Amino acid sequence: MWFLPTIFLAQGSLVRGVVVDVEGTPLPGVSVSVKNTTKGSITSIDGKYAITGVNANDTVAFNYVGFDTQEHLVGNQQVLDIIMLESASELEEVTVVAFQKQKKESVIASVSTINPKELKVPQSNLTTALAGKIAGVISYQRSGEPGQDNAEFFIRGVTTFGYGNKPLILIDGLESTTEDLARLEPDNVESFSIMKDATATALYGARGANGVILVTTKVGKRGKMTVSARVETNISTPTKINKFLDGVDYMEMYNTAIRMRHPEYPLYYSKDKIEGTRMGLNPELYPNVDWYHELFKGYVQNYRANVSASGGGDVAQYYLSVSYTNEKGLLKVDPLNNFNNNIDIDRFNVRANIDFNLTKTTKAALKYYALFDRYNGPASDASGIFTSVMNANPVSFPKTYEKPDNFPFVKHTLFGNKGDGRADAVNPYAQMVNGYRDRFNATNQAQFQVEQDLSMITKGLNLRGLVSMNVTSSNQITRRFVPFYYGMIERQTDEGVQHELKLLQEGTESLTNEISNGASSSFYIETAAQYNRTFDKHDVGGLLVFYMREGLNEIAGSNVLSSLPVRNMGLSGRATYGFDKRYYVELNFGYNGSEKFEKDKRWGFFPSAGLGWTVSNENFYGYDLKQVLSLLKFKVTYGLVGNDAIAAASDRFFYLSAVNINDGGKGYTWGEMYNQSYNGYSINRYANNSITWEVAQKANYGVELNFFDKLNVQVDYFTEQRNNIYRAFEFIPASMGLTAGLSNNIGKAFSQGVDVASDFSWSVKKDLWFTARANFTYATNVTLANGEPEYKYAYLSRIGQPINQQWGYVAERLFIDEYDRINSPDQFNKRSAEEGGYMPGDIKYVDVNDDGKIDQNDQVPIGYPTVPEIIYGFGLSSGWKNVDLSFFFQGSARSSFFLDPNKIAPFIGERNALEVITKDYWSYENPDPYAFWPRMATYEVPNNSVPSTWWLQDGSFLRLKSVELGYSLKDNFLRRQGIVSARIYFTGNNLFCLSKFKLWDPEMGNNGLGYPTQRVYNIGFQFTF
Amino acid sequence: MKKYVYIIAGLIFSAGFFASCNYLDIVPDKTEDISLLFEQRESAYRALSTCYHFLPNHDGVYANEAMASDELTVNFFQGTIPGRDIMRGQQSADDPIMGYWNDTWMVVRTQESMWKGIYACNVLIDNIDHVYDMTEREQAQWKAEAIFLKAYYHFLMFAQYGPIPVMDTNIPIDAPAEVMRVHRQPVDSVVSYIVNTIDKAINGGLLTRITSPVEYGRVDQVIAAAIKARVLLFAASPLFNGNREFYENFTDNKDQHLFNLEYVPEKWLLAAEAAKEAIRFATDNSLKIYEYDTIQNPVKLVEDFKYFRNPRYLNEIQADYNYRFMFYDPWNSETIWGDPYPTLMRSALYFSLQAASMPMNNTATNNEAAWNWAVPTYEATEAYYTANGLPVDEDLSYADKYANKFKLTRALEADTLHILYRELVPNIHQGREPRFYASIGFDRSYYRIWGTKWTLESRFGEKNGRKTMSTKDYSLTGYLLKKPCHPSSDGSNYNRLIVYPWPIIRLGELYLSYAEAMNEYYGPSQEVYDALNTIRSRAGIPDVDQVWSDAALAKNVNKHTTKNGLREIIRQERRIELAFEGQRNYDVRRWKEGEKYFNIPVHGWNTDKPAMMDYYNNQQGPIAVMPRSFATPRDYFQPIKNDELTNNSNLVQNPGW
Repeated sequence: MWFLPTIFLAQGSLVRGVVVDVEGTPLPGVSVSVKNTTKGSITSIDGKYAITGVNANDTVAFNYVGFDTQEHLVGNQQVLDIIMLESASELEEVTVVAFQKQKKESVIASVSTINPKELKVPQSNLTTALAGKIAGVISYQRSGEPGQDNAEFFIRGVTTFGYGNKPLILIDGLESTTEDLARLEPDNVESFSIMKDATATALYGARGANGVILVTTKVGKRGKMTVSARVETNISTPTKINKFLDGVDYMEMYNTAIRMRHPEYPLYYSKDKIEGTRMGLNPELYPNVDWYHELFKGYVQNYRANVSASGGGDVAQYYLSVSYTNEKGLLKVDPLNNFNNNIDIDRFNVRANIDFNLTKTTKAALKYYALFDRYNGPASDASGIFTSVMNANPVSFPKTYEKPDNFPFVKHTLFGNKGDGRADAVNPYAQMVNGYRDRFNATNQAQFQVEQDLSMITKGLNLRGLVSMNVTSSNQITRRFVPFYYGMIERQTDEGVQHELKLLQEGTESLTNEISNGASSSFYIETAAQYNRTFDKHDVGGLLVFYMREGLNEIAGSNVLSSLPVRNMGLSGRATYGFDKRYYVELNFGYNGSEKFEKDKRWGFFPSAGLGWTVSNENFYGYDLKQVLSLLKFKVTYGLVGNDAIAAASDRFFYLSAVNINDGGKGYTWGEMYNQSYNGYSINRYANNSITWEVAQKANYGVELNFFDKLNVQVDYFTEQRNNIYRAFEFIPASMGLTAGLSNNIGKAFSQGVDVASDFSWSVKKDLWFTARANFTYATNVTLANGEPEYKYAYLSRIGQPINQQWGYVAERLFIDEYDRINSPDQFNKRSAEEGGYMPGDIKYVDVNDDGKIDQNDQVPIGYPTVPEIIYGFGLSSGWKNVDLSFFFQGSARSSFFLDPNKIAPFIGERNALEVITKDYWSYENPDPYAFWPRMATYEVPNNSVPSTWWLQDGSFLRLKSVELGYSLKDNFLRRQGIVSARIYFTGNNLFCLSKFKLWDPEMGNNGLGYPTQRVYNIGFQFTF
Repeated sequence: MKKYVYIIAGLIFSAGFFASCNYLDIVPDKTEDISLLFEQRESAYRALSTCYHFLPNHDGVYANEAMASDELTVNFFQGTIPGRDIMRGQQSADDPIMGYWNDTWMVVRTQESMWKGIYACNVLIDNIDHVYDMTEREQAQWKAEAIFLKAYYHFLMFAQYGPIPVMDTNIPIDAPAEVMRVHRQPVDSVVSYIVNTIDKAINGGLLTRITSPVEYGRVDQVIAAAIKARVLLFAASPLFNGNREFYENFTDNKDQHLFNLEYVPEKWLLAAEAAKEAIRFATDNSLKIYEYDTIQNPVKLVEDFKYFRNPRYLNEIQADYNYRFMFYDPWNSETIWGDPYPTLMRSALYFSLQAASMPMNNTATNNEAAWNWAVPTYEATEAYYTANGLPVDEDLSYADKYANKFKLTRALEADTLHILYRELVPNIHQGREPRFYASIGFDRSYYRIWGTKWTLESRFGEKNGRKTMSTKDYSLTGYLLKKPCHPSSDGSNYNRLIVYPWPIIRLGELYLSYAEAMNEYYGPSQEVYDALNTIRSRAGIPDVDQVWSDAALAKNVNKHTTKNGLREIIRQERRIELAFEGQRNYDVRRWKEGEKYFNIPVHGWNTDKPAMMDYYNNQQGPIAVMPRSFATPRDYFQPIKNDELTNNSNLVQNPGW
């Protein structure tokens, strides 16, 4: 294999070099040949090659499966280092489908695959990388909190309004949680595919209706050991910070707001207090707290490292990987405490995949995976701490008081609170530093697999068996103290107003601890028989799989029924037939059982079928046409897929009633001393033995195109009808006296959409290359049947409306004046009342049903659904010599969300005020009937806080999701040190965002006061030895 | 070697098929089911306690019904207070406040739908016979309790909604939707259902009187008879009896009139007989009008010793103690049905009317249970009689004071039990009957609380006044409520408040109901006077027939001898005697006087002013401090939730909603 340069050959010279991929990873086994000669070579394990006797006018060709062939004129170069580009047309020669692999050309199911490299993001959460990268995935991320930042994702959108709408996630064939997927190290991923239609998911029968995400991890390759290492560090900072009013403006605005509703009321904040604050007098008497900046840092630095080794001999091959991540949160730490209340996560990820060749026909594999997650964080939820900044105002109290001289024995921190109350105001600082939480999560997973080739019986037959076990445990200790709250008491004395610091609420001097531990495990067995053979022009394949799975303690809850295991078993099969690489037929079935249903309803049969036609392989398909459109393939599939996650996990065994016969919340007490207490009972579900599977009828119409061998386009149109959705009869009158709803398989929904994936790659010269990708997913749905009552007005009905459609009032404008208010229809019966009623400057609604009053019946569907209907992404990568640059845009469209005025309305309960609100509001000076904020108030104005078009926001956006600039060192010096390749790169994530919504990052939706989404600047090094 | 591999591979492959078909059969026997409740007496208690569970929490400040009348109120700064919010006109059919039809959020707890309570009662009635270790007698008793509660839950909704559906049995869950869509029954059918059902309970097994202290609070015949009297009194009242004025055109979707349109005077007779019967039941079981017994019950406050020893004050201090301790002396001789599950005993929900009314103590380290904000309206205070037992505008001896009622004059020796001597107070606060001073705290008056006797100083910045403009815990009207606050209660901690059973119904009410029904049917009679005098003598005021016939005292002399005059007297007596007990919101409605009493703003003193003259509005009388709104006939009944009307197309909404 390795042609030593010491062997001298008379003619020509020696040409040598290294062949690497775009990321600088050496490619072993690339065939290197001199055109029109028999000379040639293959690259070694570290990507090196050398060819002797090459002339200056010879052309050297580099060939590698899955990559574009490159040809280069030798000239006078002696070193020819090559960057191979993955070919767009044949990204993968084989596609991973349910329980097996199929040749890509023969796949007629709708499966999207993605190059795992695309999944690399500087956040250690793989789910955040999905949006826009894979056709058919609708995804969005609402929070940036480390450890809690999983993106929501749906395959082909939400297609049911039943309970379970999440795809099935399989990692190396095992059912996994979203959390497992989030923590997956992209470096370890061999293939990542999304199964979308009936033929792709039918084998998963009961569990495949919402689509399947299938991930396989890397396995070892025969040869010398290769070690890859990657080290990254990044700076993470909020994409946007909410701005609040400072103390002086706050008080002045508050006084204005009070007078807006009650001109006769005295000013709430005295002139003295405002002026004192303006002059910055004693901050304990005149506090002016910028809570956000008191609580949070501007940025945080995180670290990641990953090392993997792969290699092996004839008997065994191995792939070993270890990674470490450190992530921190933005919370400041109280110097008065010696514990850390900030989020600080250390995560170790270990994977070992070892394959053994036991005999010539018998293979065994052992896979081990472990994840250790050490979390340190605040005692209460970090997102809640961000939200609480909204609920504290700058002037009520400082975060802490200095210890005065007359408190010599006080050891605790003097946390601030409202001087006159019962310490019931929110002090976000006290909430943040009052303790910390320690958590250790561990996942251990072992898998053993045996594969037997049975060619001795009949060629193309093999058997496979797999056993797998998984244990996840979590130990959490929360230690916290109760803060001592102090307040400044104001006293009216003969000498004027006096202030005195007073204890408002007794706290605790020591920490308490709450421990919560838990562990769950699962056990999985799978056996499969597989047959694949080609007879001349006939490709025949067959697969039969049996599996069973048991999960223990997977359901939270304390009653006997929820403590029982979760079980699934099924038999699935597939038959494929291909003729002459032109016609393909596929039949699939899944026959599945779930423990949830009554015996007669337990098993479901889910068949599917598909047809494919590769037109470009037909004889009539001309050569010229093939030069332009090198691939043209049509495919159609149809079938049924089930879903047993029809209700909350704890809501199983529908044929039994769920009764709590010892419910402390339903009891009563008698007796002279009020102590003869008896618990009561509650019925949480009435028995119904007709409940069964939710069933999806899926159809997919796809076309695959390839232009010039460079541009690859795949378009799928799909429809899906979801039947038997478990749904409550909503029309049960309260007079029935039932304590639980009545439900049955009565819901129906229909969805349809298009997903388009295209990629393009072009190597201009040996040093200059481009690749581009674009994806587009559109999925829309409509409710066909649900248990709703017969509404008096058609527009109240959810039938015919999208599943996540929102209802609300139509806001016309703000009331102009009293005349306008009196002469408009009465809103919510509140016109007559002063307080709690509405005034000029409050929102005027449209009387949709024209009955002279505004009430519930005037709500109409408004805006788009909450889940976006369109997700798209596009990006370009290019390289020139050692430098590579890529960027990726991601967008979302056709979604809406409501601003929640109950969360952001300023001054209510002395709540903080967002600056933007105070810039554009209705007042007598500025009676703009279309001002952003209605007439100010210091209490909730129910008239204004109902969902309406006034608060409806367009959730669409387009963001620069990532930019990466890399430089590869291909230096002989490095090579002599044994380093095959090295690359340094800079990445920026979420750099900017275009959107109509300006308050906060639009992707956060109505969660904008929570932990902000993060912008990340990352620097990384990558080595291969 | 190879063979073994085949065998192993074969075994693994076939492992799956060994899995038995029972793999998915994982539910063991002995899972929880309703039938388990009715196996043993001990577990059946849980079914019984669930029947009681739905009883309203009258003494919870957020569930309190006095708040939904012209008696009590709360300042604006305290968020949602359901009763006050109804009175401010915030009731809505989209999301009804305080309605018993659907589950209702009462700020700190959910009052569950009475229909659920009825369902639970029917479950017990149908199953209690299965319990093996109960005697038949006991089964009958429990069943009768459930039957009574079922009737009572119907009555609670009847009082709120008028005509309601009757759910005597539970409708099966697999019944067709049309069966589930029940109709509202006309008022008369609802009343006769409730009355018959109570009779069934009385005759079916209720104990005559619960005597075992551990069972206090459970229903017996005395309770059932008293509630029956209340039901019949409601049924005879103008709102429900021939109310052509409001409901002439109120029909359901079958064109059935939901209110009777003809006035039937005999309904008063039934009410009178039921009240008389209930009084007899009660007195036969040794219940009597409560009087404070200084021998059995030593005086708690040192400050009051001297008054009990001084003949000059004895009568007045005795009357004061009579009335106050009648309310909070636990399980006293007047309690017919006490709530055995007071708010203070409910799990961690201490939001009781007592805590909300307790004045704050500035010297206490903590005021956890003294919130200082549930307060009487000026309107409620003016209703009390003068010391002569006459209305303030009817008493000739009070005429001077009344003519200058807001003028500040120095408190006299005569009121020294209640007002700081020689302090300047408005005339209207002086020379009043004992029940006034026992119930209402005002500026410069005494308040026996926190185990001691305080002088209230209620102006802005003062000890008991509003402290700063940002104070939320202050009296909107300047008054403080004494009635539910036990003098020994200490507001520093919930555990130091004295717990007592809120009277769901007490003997005093029956005398008043009897008097009212008798007067309506027969007109004035000695029996009516006697009933009223029973109440008045405990309250330390002269007999009704004595003062009203005294030309030197009564402006409208002999007013009590006419039916209309006596009606007014009875209504005022009832208003005073049952003040803040949660009856008035229903009384005003059944008398059809909502427009008169509930549509005027709340008045009070100017609590934002530190100077005395400003506080008293320069002697011009109290100022309007909170608007009120009452629409006739809309606000006579609760709206049925709009959702319920959508779900049940056979229901009709109450008029005006």
